[in-house]
Amino acid sequence: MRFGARINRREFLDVLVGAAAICASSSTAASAQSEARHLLQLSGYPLDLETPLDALTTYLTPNDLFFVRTHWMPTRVEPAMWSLTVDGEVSRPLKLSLADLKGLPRTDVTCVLQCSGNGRNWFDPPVPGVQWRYGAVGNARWSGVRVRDVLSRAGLKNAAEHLHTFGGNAPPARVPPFNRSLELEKVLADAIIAYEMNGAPLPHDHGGPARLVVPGWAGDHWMKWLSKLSVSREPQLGYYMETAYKYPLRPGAPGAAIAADDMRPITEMFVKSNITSAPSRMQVGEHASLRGFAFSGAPDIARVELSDDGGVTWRQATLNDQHHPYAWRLWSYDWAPRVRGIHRIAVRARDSRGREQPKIPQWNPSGYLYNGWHTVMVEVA
Amino acid sequence: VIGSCVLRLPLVLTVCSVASIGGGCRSAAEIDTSDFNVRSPALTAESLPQPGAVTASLPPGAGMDAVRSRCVACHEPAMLRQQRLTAQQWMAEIEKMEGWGAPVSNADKAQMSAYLSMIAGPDNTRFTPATVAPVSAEQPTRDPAEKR
Repeated sequence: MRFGARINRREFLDVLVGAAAICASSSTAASAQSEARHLLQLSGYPLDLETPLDALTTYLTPNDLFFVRTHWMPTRVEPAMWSLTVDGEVSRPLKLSLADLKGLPRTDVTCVLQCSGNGRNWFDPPVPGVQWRYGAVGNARWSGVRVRDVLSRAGLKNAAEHLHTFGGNAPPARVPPFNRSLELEKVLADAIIAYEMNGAPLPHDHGGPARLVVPGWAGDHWMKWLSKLSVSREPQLGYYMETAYKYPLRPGAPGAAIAADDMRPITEMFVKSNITSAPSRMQVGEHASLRGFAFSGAPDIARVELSDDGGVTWRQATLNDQHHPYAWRLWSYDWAPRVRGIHRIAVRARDSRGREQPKIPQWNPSGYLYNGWHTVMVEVA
Repeated sequence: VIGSCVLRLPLVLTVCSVASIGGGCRSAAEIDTSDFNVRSPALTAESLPQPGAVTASLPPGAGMDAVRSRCVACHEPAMLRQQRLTAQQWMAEIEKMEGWGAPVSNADKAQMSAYLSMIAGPDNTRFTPATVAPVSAEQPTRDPAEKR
C-alpha cells in the first residue's frame, strides 16, 4: 500500500483498517511481506538496534536484520589497512593482515550471538542501560580462523592463562576503553576470529573487518573491530572487567545492592526461548502453528514446552532438525484452543545440561541475561 | 473532513516513523495485541529513517538545557528517554559520567537529576523504539559530529 500526497476520507479509513488487519494477523507470511523489513532503534549514537521478534523466524538471521550493539562510535577500518597484533606471553609476536589471516585454515561456526543485556527492559525494578526487549539476539554462520591456530603460530608460553582483547572503540575524555579478557581454556576450545558473516564480508556494524566469536558466551566477549590479542598470566583490569559485565554469585532481593566480592564475570548464556510467530486472534476449532527459537550457553536444547494455563501443564514443542553446537533450535507447536477468551501462552526451554528457563529470572544490578518465560496473548473468538 | 485527513495522515506517519517522542504514538493499530511486538503501520522501505538517525528529542522543562549541553554530545536523546530511573539512580549515572570527564557542576547535577527523573522516572512507559531501515553493509560511515 502506497501513501500518496492526496488521500480522501474513504482511503484514509482503508489505511487504518489495513493497518489494524496487519496487526491482527501479525504472524502470517502475507503480512510479513506487506511490511517493510526494519529494525528497532534504541539509540542512534552510539548505534544500538534490535531485531523485531517476528523477523527472527529463520535458522540464520540475515546480516541486515541482525541486532547491532555499539559502546562508542567506532572508526571505520578499511580491510586493506586492517591488521591484528598478537603479543604478550608468546615466543613469536605477530602482526597479521587480513590476507595473512585468510591464508590460515578456514573454519565455519554457526552459533547464537546475544547481547548480555538482552531483555534488560523486563527487570523490575528497572536498571540503567540500553532497554533491550527481545531482539538483541541472532544466529549466524561465522567464518574465519580458530584463535588456537593463530596462537600456535605465535608460540604460546606455558604461563599463559588469559587472552586480553582489544577492539576499535576510541572513547572520549576519561571514558574507559572497552577492553576485555577471557580464559585461554575457552579460547583454545572453540573461539574463532571471524571475517565473514553468513557468507559475506563481516559488515562494519558487526565488527568488520574481523571480530571474535565465542560460542555459547554472551556478546561482551565477542570483541568487534579486533585490533590486538595479548596473552597474559592474569585477567585484564579496567572498568569493563572489574565493574561491568558481572553477575551476582547468589540471588539477592530485587533492587538491593550487592557487594563487589559477590559478583563474578558473565560467561555462558542462560537457557532461553521466545515465541516469534503466533496469531493475535483466532477462532475455536482453528489450529495455529506457534513457532520460535531456543538457545543456551550449553551446546544444545533438550526440549521446549508450552503452557496455556499459566504453567500448570506443559506440552512439548517439536524441535527442528537443523542444528550446530551453540546455535539455536527453531521449534513449532500446533495449538488448537477449545475455549473462547483471552489465552496467555508461555514457552520455556531446557538445555542439554538440564538447566531450565525460569518463570522470573534472578534480578541483577545491571540487568544481564534476562531469560524469564516468554508469554504472548491470543484472543480466541 | 477530507482536508483534515489530508493533513493528518502524514502527521501520523511522521510521528510513528520517529516513534520516540513519548506517548503520542501508541494506538491499537500499532501495538500487536499479543504484546510482544511493537509494530508500525505499513511503512515502506523508502519511508524508514536510516539507522543512526536522531529519533528523539528532549521535552521542555527546568534542566533541559543542562541535559542537552552535557549529555547529548555522547548520548542520543532516545537513550535517556527509554530509562526508568529514580532521582537517586539518575544522580549515580550523572556522577559516573562526571568521573569519566563530563563537565558538570553541582548545580547542574541537581537540576539534571530532577529533570531526568521527570522525563524518564520509574513510571516512564512512554518510550517506543524507533522503526528504522535494515543495516546496509555499504552505508557510509556515520560521523558522530553530525549527531551533536
